[in-house]
Amino acid sequence: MTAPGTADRQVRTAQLDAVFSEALALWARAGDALAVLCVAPQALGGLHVRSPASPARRALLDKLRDWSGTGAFVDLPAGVPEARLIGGLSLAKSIEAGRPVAEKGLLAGADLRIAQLHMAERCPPAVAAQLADALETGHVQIERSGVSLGYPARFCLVALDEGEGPGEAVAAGLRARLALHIDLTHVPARLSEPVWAYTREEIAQARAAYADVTAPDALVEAIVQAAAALAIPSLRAPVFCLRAARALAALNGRREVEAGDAEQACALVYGHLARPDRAPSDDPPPPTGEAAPPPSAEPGQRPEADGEPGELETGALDEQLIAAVRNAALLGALDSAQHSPATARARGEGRSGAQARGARKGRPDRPRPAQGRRQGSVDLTATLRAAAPWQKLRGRKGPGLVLRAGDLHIKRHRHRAESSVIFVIDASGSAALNRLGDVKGAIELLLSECYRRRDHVSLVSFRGERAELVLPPTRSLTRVRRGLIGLAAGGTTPLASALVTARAVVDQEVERGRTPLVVILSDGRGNVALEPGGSRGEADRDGERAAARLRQTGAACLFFDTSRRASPRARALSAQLGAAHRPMPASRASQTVAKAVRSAIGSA
Amino acid sequence: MALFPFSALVGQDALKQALVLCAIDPSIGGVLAFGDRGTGKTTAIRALADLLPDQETVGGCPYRCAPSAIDPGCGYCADPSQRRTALAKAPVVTLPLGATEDRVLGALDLEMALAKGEIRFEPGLLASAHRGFLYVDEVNLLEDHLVDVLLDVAASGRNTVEREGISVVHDARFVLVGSGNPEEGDLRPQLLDRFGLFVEVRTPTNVAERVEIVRRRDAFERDPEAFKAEWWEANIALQADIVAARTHLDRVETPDAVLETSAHLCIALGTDGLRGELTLLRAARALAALEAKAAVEDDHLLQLAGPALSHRLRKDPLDDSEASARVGRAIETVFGPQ
Repeated sequence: MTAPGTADRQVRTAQLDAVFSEALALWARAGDALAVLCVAPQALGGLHVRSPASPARRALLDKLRDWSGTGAFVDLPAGVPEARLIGGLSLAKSIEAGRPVAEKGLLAGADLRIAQLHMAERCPPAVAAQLADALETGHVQIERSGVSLGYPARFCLVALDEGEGPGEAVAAGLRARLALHIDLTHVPARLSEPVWAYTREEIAQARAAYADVTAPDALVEAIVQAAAALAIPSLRAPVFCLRAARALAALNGRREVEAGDAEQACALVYGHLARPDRAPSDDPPPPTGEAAPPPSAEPGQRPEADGEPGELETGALDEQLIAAVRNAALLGALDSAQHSPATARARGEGRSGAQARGARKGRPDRPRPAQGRRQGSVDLTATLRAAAPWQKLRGRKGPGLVLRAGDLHIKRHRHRAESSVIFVIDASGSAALNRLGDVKGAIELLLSECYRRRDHVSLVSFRGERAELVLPPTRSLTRVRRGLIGLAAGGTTPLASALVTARAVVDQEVERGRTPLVVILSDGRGNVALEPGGSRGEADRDGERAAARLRQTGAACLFFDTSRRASPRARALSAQLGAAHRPMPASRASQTVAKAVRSAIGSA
Repeated sequence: MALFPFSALVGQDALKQALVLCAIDPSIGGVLAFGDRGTGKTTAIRALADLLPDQETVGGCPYRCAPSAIDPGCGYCADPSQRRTALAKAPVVTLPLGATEDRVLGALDLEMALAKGEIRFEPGLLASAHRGFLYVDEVNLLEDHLVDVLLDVAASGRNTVEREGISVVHDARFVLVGSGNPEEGDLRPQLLDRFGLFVEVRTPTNVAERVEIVRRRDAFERDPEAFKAEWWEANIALQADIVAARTHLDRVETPDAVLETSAHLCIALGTDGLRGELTLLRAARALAALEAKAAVEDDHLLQLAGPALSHRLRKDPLDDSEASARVGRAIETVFGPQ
């Protein structure tokens, strides 16, 4: 072994420099985002932090606490139940008092403070919706279980998102109400103590001045136009951006927003909404005029403008603003490339709480009398309701309730387990040649069935380098159709990657309490290994291993062989998967697939 | 919480029109607004509260009885000495997320029952919404059985509660307004046509409009009171128009020719049942009343055919080939090229 040459060393130093300067830029941006948030915490809704627990994140949160001046955060633990979050009937107090006693939730304590939502990516939809609603109105209203209660909750939310891969993220409805976004996933540990640009006093002064800061019309226009040019359809984004610009002006001791503030605000608020395209090049270029600002390519998060982004009248744009956002977006580009589900999985599952089961156990149904059963938890309201009319007859004196066994009601959940159908579609050259049209037809046919049953549907497509989760599980038919129509074809067959991705989706769905069904439509001719540059042999081995892992999940699986003649490889793969192997006949293909899946769903 | 003034809303003309028409004639049957996040559906609907004219009620009556039309079943108003007339704001009640059936319909008053052993009915949100609006955000995420109940009561105007030994029937006439985001799941098709009008809310793509929206939001945020004062006059003028249209409504004629055109339109579209046709005519009459016209005109049908019919087309759930395009074609068939 000889020592590396000088040239080598220079290259390596340059690479390191690049990594560090990138990280420094990220930190600088994060510092600005924090400062802006602390100036107008409620007006900006909050901050979405995408990062595993790390020294960097800790440093960030410590600084936020310091700057915010509102004391300790209100903790909203992972998996906090809705009733604890917003409030409701208190079991303990009600029993003690012998009458229903309502209790406010955690959000009552968060009024005018900062609330910190842990593991936000695992937040159940009902809780995310409550948070989004409270952020919107600054108020919580409860009308349930006999409780009618309202209280102010004007808070700022920090959503700690430890999600891995695009399928695991904070609910879109909640995210849209947080103006700021920071991704610390790739900040090296050694750079976890940045230099902060402001002092606590400067922030406090800016906070006091914020309300009086105005923005000239031209800059308001530029902020709106920048959003339009970046194909960000939501109007909430420019409203947030204007507020951020006012906060920045306040931080700089000014009473009026200047171009520099607007530029910085655009970078902070629009950056993550307008990510550079990471999809392969054969996607049609976005029709947004000359230098096509890249719209988001996140599957399922692509801002769907009404009509095409090109319809937006952009007029004379403030090019500077857009350039600022593009630079900010580029900072995130590395992350999104490294965030493919395959690499996320490869990093293992040692994360805390990853094993926690989904909180949903079916929808609550009307409670029923316990009738001697001892399973299930007591439904207090129903029990009290059953007992109440008889108190006089039973000769009650004093506060204690006279309960009889027959009064006892237990909670019931409707256990119609939700199904989730995961379509894994071979869009490689070999499969696409003659059958992709058939396959799309078959899926379309199935969707009407899924729609009736209100199933969740997701799409995994594989071609070229690796598989892609085109659409995370959704019930929206509109989105599935869009995903199908946009499916591109051609290239090699990364079957192993497809199976890995499918397994990630299966795991997620099982955790959410759904029953997954994997439907693979392929000719089984995988030829791409998981590691780039792997040989054919490795591709085969990866495929077998991935198939075995998918099988371990116990999810029902169907394999439709799309090759012209039933292929032995597809048959072998089906066996490894423990899947039913069905050759897909050329004619009436759609009906055959539909029928098979329907019966599989029925028996699942 | 300060409300954004209704008349300061930019764009969203279809939604605003639908809401105003329902304020004029509640029997139109409510509005369903579907659209992307951040398009201001909720802002528009909440803004109604400041726009609706005040109404006479029996002061203190938990069922919001009108002095001129007392619910014979109302326990409060049964005692004539209680009947003091008071002026109150028309309610715009928001159904909070996760509301349960007992609070929506009303149920046994537990506190009274347990503390005093008295059996008393505690009215729910449906009673609070009587003679006003009931707003359900994310209606597509609501429990199916609750949606059924809401639509049922909205259609009948009466709320019947039979539970825990309580038997109560009370008036609950309200305009049901639902909103939702199609990306988060579709509404059961059988529920769609129970809403009178259907509006698709889109993000404006016109930059000038978007700038104006952001500017007004900013002005409102910085000084809500001053902003509201600025728009007070416009709000009052619109309110006066609604009051005038309500009194004028009964006098609006519906010529036979208009009835015929409306029938042709519905036949051309193959809408199921008569509900669409009735809604179209009612909405057209309300619009004519708002414009102080003596009779309904073809132009009114033309304007309202979309909102009244587009969600009632018989369709395959997969075919999202724009319902509005189909309505447009039918309009061309009936009226000739527009």
